[in-house]
Amino acid sequence: MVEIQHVTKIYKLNKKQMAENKTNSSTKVAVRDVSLTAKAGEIFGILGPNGAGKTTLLRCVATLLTPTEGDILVNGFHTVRDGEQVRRSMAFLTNEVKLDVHFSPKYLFWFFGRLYGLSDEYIEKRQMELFSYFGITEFENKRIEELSTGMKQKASIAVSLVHDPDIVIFDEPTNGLDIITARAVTDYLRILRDRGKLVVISTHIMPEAQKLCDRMAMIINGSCVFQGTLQEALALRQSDDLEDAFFELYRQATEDK
Amino acid sequence: MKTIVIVMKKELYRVFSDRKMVFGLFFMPAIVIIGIYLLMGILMSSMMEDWEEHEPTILIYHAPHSFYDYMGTMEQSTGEYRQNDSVFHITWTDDGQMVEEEKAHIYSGELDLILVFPDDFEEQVKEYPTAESIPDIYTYYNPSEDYSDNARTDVLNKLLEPYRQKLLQERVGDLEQLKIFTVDATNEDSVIQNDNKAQGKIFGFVIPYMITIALFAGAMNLGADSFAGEKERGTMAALLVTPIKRSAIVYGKLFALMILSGLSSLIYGGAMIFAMPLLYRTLGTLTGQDLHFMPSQMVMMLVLIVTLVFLYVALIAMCATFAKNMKEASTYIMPLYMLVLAIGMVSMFRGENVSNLQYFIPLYGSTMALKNVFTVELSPLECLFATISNLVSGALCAYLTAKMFHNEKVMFNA
Repeated sequence: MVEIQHVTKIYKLNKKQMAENKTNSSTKVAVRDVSLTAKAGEIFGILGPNGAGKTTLLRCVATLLTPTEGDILVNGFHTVRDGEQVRRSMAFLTNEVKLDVHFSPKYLFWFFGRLYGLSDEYIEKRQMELFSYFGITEFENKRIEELSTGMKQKASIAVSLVHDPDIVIFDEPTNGLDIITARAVTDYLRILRDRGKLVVISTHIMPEAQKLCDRMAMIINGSCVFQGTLQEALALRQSDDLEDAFFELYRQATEDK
Repeated sequence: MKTIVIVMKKELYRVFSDRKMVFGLFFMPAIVIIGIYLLMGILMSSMMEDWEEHEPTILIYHAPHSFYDYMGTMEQSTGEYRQNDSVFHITWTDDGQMVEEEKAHIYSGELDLILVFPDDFEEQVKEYPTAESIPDIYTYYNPSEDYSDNARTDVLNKLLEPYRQKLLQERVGDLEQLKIFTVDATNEDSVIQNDNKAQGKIFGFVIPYMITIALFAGAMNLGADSFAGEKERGTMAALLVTPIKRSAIVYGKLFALMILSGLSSLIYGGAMIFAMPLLYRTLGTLTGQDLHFMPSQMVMMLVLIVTLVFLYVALIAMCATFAKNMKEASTYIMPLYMLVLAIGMVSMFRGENVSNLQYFIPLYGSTMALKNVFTVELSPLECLFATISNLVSGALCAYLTAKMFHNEKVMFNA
């Protein structure tokens, strides 16, 4: 379970960043007082446009960033005080977390398996399962740099899941993938959910969220403007299309501002 | 500790599984060093042979009869005079105008030397007890032309000096009478020196400098890539989301870098030690001399190199971690490299009077210690001081690097 309690994240900006952001303020509020709870056995979507603060929020959950205010608990462990236990219980995959292109998927799978302190037998078993599911076996010894985008993403997912974590956090999991690979990935996320894992994804692609997520939170300009089930989100506009609901919330949020 | 080893193995595998990297890091420096020294040796010996083979052209003005007579005793044929395997092409003249004109040829390098005897040379020599001054022979030559410079030396040593001895003998009869005393004429054991120190001075002049540079240069690119490069490529984040301690990542990378740059400098140093005698032997100035290390020297050198590598890689890691990308890392590391170069240069000309406290100065102390190992002037205590300095400063840099790994601004530019 992931419990986010009144989390605010404020970045300090240097002069160059202030110029880039066209602001006179030396700070930028990326996430503002967000509270939400995601439970085991569900796919939880964090939805919002680019720059809304989704990735910052997930980085805070993954212990890469420290919230300026508020607390985050992952399976009861505090992300700041118990960072190692938090990281042991989760997989975190974003576009910014990449595999070293010099190595093969198999080498990296074993490298990360050993870093997690797993036994050789366990790594072997996990390799058989994940490599055969994602079809990695045929290119397991090729260098990452020789692989296509889809192959790389499959390898990244497999490597991140080597320790069979309880919580899987994927930022834009199907971004840049072809339709076949994207389907394989989303199907596997469902398998994980069905096995009782908590899957948290962030996306700005509403049709994908509609198909995949059991519950969701919508983040606009750093604030959480909605949290609930898919049905509750669709009820906002009495529509079958999540995109309509999102635009309604986006309109309200920007008008309020 | 286990995780440190896992990270270290991965870093080593990254290099050793890449043939281009292995060649560039380990083989290329050795090939370049041996190649350069061989080439220098060949070029320098060929230059010296050329000097020896050159037959100088000399214009002699107003030569006295005694000099003609002296030259007449030599093997000769149409202006060519042979003396001790040297051949001199001599033109005799009494035309003062010609001397002035030929000076232009000295300037252009077409003529090697002009020798001008005073008009009353013979008289001045004969009337030496009452003469007001001793005769002065003028030479005109061009020191920027090797042939001219060598011609003057040869003429002074091989023609004029024997000629002077001849005149002196005529004046006093037995030259031995002029000798009040001699120095070491019969003493064959005059030189008392530590051969190791003497040889060490030759090698200690440049090798520690080259080794420190090789150590730093070897670690520089690898260090920048291992820290800043991994940040830039996003592969560092993959390590940071694992449950291992950030310090384990830092130390795993540092130890791998130490091994790699240590190996690289070992090959570099070995190539230098192998190549330098090649150069000296080619020039004929180091016949039979080789570098011999005593076991204590070997141990001190090893300890100094290992700890110095630790300090270098820790410094490089600190700069590279602070940098956002490879380019920025190079900018931060370059001043450090300049500092190492400067200290290395200083070590070439200093080192004999280093106080105990100076061995504690980071970078400087250990570079001096490395030099003094060669000249057998480093005591174990001084070696210990330099080692402590390396370890303490290296550990401080490693600690700061690990602290930076916890800083989201540094690691993620957040």
